[in-house]
Amino acid sequence: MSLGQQKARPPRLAKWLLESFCSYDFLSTALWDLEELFHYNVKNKGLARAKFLYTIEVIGIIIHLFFKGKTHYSNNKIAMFKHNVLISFRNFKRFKTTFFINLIGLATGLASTLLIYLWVADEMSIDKFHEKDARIYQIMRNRNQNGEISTTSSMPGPLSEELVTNYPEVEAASMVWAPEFFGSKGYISLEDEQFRARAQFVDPGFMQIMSFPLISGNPKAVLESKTEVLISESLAQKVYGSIDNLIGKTLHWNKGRMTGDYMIGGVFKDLPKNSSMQFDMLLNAEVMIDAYKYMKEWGNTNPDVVVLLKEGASAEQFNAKIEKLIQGKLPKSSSTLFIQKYSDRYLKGAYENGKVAGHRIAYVRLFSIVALIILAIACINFMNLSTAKATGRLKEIGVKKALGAKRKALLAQYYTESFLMTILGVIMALIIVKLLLAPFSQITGKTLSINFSTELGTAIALIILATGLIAGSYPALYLSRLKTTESLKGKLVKNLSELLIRKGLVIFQFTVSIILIFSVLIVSRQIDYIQNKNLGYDRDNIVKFHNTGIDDSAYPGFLSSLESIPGVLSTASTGHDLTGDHGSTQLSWPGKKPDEKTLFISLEMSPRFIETVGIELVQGRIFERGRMNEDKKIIFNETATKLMGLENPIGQVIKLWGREKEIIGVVRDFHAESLYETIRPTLIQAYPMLNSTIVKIQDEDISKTIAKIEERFKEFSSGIPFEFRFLDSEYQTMYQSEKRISSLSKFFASIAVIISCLGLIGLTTFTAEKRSKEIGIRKVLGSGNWRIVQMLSLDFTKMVVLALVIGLPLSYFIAKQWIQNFAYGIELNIGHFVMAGALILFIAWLTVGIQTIKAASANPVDSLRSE
Amino acid sequence: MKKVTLGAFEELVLLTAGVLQDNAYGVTIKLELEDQLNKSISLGALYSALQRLEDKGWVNSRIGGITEKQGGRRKQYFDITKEGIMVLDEVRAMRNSLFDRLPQAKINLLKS
Repeated sequence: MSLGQQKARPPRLAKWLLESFCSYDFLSTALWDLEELFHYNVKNKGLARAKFLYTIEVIGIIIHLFFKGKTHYSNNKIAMFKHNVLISFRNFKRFKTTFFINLIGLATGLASTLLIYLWVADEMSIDKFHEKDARIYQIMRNRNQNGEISTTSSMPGPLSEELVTNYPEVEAASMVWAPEFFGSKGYISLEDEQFRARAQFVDPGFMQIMSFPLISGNPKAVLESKTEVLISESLAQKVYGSIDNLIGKTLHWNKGRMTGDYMIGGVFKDLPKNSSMQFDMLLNAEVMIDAYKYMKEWGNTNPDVVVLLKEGASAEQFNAKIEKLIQGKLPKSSSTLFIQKYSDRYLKGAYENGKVAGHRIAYVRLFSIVALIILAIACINFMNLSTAKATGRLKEIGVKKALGAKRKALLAQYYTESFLMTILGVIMALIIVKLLLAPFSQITGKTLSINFSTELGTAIALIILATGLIAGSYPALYLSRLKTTESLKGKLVKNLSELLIRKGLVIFQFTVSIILIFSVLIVSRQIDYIQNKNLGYDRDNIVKFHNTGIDDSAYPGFLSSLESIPGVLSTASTGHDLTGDHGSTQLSWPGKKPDEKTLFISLEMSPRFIETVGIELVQGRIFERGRMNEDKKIIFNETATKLMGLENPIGQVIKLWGREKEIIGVVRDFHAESLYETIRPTLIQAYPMLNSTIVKIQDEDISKTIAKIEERFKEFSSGIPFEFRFLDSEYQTMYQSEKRISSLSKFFASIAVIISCLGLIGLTTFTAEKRSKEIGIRKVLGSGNWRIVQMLSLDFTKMVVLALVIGLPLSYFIAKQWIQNFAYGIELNIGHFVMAGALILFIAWLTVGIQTIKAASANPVDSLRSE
Repeated sequence: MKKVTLGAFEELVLLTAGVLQDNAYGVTIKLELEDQLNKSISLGALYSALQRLEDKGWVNSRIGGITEKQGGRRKQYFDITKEGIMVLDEVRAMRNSLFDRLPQAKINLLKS
């Protein structure tokens, strides 16, 4: 026997399990056999497999002992376990309401936890699938503007080449121009058909860095030439109807200056859904640089840059080495570089003062906490109801103790009960999750599914273990502690701390419910506010589409043909939209201080843009179509003129990008970014044709008007499919994550409230039952139903009010924090608190009320007859 | 009185125990059976079958192989008894007689 095999030992846990369930005689036999088998398996199938098989065999033996075994083979534990399971089921049957309240509470709680787990697991998996994930980094850049540091991912064009040639720790680097870089998609033409496709521009090194496997083509030598293109499996299917024999075919790509014939060099598998990059085709970055020469300069910043570090290279050292790289090339620049792990960018894509500050990770954390809270609320129900029911089981405990049951045996019994309950709960929860998965996926905008993987299995096992322990511990410890004689006499010594714990737990449940309800209220209010806030322009009934396929020369004709459609009010061409997509630039004006470095928002729009979106003019005039020299004019918003300190801005001349421009107008402030940002100084320049067109249409017959616009578009673009969006829906997508958070929080807050109320129902029913004699006597003596209802609900009202007192200030702080994220947030007022408080009181009274009224209106004869 | 019967799995275990002669214990029976049946058999199932066989008196168990090294563990050998052989004979005879009564013509027809 070799040394390795001598060392191999069977898994300890399995051995311990076997030892604790088998009688001594049988154990030694089984152990011999198992060990021999184990060594045999180690030799033939490897250690891991052998350990696994050993555990399986042990479980098999225990199951056989449990169901078919002879008593002299097993020890007492199996018998006790059987007994405990039996008693648990009898108890479930005996206290049906409690059982169902517990089961429903636990099942919904567990279902929410599982749903949140699925969501969190999916968020965490984004971009983690790349094989070399641990070594892939993205270069980031900090810029210092007037003491404020802003962080971006856009890099100078030559950086990627510089990193590969002069930095030995870099194995590969690639520029990345994502398809979103251009407002419009290009399209492929094949014979008479046109297909839109999202193109990404990368260096040849890209395919070595990322794991996007090729179906055909040589992975080591793709994208080497400027005329090569890689296309995705589904694009290939769409265009050619097959994925075979495509290499070497030519593909005609239409996209502005990059239009031309490209040769297919390979087909890659469709990108997984958990990739944050999404594209249909890959082109060489040189194509982009050829088309836009200025991108080759160090002073210009455009592409993202990702690098693959060599194995064993220190990321920290590399980070320190490249910090001053840009300043080495451009001494005046304030930019410093740092690296961030590529797969971290999805969850941690926000930066504060040049440091990584979070972003999506905050929601992942938030919902994990919510999941834990909901589970805790469900566990509290179980704890409260089991201890409350203890009176009904005093005799059982007394008899068991008198017969010699040790405390351990009682503990085992109550744990068995709580674990059985949890397992039943999990089974039900899985059914609920299965049913809710589709709507939940829709809310979260993901396609989630339950795949029974080891990870999910471990997660479920952990959840069962935690829930069973948390829910079972208090009742188990409490009930097993009772004294034999007293419990036989049926006396339950009430001590203050127990009562406090039970009440405290209810108060905790409701405090949490209040916080959740209040947060939901505030989130939905804020979202309403954002959606209805006056933005300084009118985004209703504006259709937006890309100009793909329309020639520059034909464009004016296209616009006037659109305007001749009845129902079209006004048209304009835009290079930017008003949802945060804009340029940023510095400029100089008369009287500018030398240290002033403020970045202006730069919008490129055609004449008539301002009237089409209804921005209000304050002074001067707006751009006019057809007027000469409009490209030498400029318009500012009020914030900008204030910043520049110009008293009479009209007619003044500023200098932008080395050219002089005359100010012809000032417009009222409007929001060119999301409401997270305050309004910044903004300039508008006019160009005759930009990449998209917006059309303001009349409220009536919208579909008819759009159909006509489509007709004209097809006429001018030689048959490219017409894809349009409404400007207001584009505005909505800007707040998509807030909306998702809003609907998710509504969903989970309601679940938390429902579970809390279930617990309250259980407790009320129990109290009413226990006091049924008292209620009977009171009624016989002449008390009215209403007084009894009052008496019964007083206790619970006190608890809920106390919860309000604790919960409302807490929710105030939480809400305040969240609203601070927005530059334009709602004011918290007393109404919000009253509303949340009233709602929770109303819900609590409703739940308690039904039970108490039932108890109060019962006939006193029924409760007083027997005795 | 209920008639003592031999189940299908029990029969296989009993046969294997007989075949292995002096060396029939948990592991050897399991491996031999797995070899013959081409499927895995859990020790738990095997033990409960052996238990039943012992209760019915068709196998005897004896203890052997206690060594210092195994820390007091022991092999439990199972030897087939005379009654065990008899019951196997009986089952086989019954089966053969049934098999002989199968119509030969039909067998040939179905096999062709």
